[in-house]
Amino acid sequence: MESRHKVVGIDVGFGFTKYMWLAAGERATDLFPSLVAPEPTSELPGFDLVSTGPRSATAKITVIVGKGAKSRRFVVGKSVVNELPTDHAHRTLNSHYAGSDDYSALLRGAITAIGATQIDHLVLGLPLTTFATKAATLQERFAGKHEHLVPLAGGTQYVCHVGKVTVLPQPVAAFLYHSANNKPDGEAANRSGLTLVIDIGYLTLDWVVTDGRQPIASRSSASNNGMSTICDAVCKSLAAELDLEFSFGLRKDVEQAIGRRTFTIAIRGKATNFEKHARPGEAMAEANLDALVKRSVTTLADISRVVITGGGAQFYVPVAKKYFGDIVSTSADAQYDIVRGLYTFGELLQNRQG
Amino acid sequence: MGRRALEVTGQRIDVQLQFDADAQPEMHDALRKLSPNNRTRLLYNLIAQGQVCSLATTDHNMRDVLMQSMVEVSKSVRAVANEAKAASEELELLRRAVAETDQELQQGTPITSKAPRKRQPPDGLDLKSDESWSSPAPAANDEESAADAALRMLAGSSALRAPESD
Repeated sequence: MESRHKVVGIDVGFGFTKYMWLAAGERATDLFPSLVAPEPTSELPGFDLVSTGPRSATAKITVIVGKGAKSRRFVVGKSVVNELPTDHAHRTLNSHYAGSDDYSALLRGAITAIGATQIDHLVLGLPLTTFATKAATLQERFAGKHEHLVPLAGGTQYVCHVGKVTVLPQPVAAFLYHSANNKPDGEAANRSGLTLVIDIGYLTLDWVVTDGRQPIASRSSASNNGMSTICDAVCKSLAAELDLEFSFGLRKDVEQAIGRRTFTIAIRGKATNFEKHARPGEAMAEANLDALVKRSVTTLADISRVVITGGGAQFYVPVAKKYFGDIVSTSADAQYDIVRGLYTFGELLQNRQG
Repeated sequence: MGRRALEVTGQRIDVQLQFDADAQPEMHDALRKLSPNNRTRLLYNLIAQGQVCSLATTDHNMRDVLMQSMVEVSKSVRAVANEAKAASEELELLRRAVAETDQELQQGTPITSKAPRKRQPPDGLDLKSDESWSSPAPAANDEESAADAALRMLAGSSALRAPESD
């Protein structure tokens, strides 16, 4: 089972783990929620009775983190939230995330999903809140041998050798994708002027101002005002009106409906529109944009274009257009922008080296 | 323009070449079903055959899709232009070689081989073979500058930081 990849991009976000690789000569992307659960035992009631319909190969990925007696087995993948009791699946939302076992489990889950046994260059992303402090550690931690990977179909554990690891700031990767891959607005972004890239992540809201392709550190920063804070407020408001408890699954449905701006979920078997509860979320989004401008962007007078990227892009774009005007652009599936930028970075270096 | 049938990777698709309002849904549907490479190839063919000289759509998503494809097409065109330039330079070398050989013959000196190097067909421009089609690689200089720019961007990112909690 030899599977060598010259470049792989993995963006272990707080909300979702996205990965990009070359599959049968074509660039491929996929994702699963950044949910980690301990591997269930046979005694765990309800397991394997919940899932319905065909499951993809990456529905449930077993990963082992750590060595010897200290090793722990986890389950990640597309269906973790459906297959495990609510209190067994969790997201990690703090600044220690990149150094946690959960992060390792998600990253190794992505490697397993790709099925790689050799990755020459692994490119990862971090938000600006942890880039300066965690990038070097990540590079050191994930280069080398990844032992005890469990194949998707089960069977003998295998090893993946990772050569070089590079870590990019997530919004810089998104900008790289928009510019290097000649997105419509990338053409203009390549030429001149300042670009404000805003990455709407699950936990963090990151922004970078670039002069051409050079990031301006003094005008770039991040805050913990990602989509999860907006989803929290919407869920709280909805729960209060309908007098209901939010399960992990229901919360996930709300997050998806907000992200896609459909604002409709099934509650007690009925399609329920919660748009009125999402309106305060839009006000929060506008306040977040205003705060980031005042905090470090300082002025919009020299900003020629604003790129909205990340999983919350679709929710933010109408708000951003109202706030910034017609200089706002995004891509159709902005959730993948960062990992595409990570992959692009690796590919550019690979092509140069031949 | 009327309707025209085109063979693309085994899929026969009818497309309305003129992007009028009525044809948009059908055209969009047909274009969306194609892989990015084949969409680029289709547009390249249409442009090469003189069937399409401009594209217009009111669908924003389709505009993005088409723009990406058109950028790929422009890369192909650039590759053709580069190839034409290389051919022109080789022609000039050949002309000089012939002139020098003529001169050597007239002077009675031995003939040495001055055949120009064999040219390879341009990458990604074999439009008749689906298997051989791939997005043309950017010119070497572009690749180097893009990689250098990416590295400079990474170096410039080292100063980026934000507080871990607000």
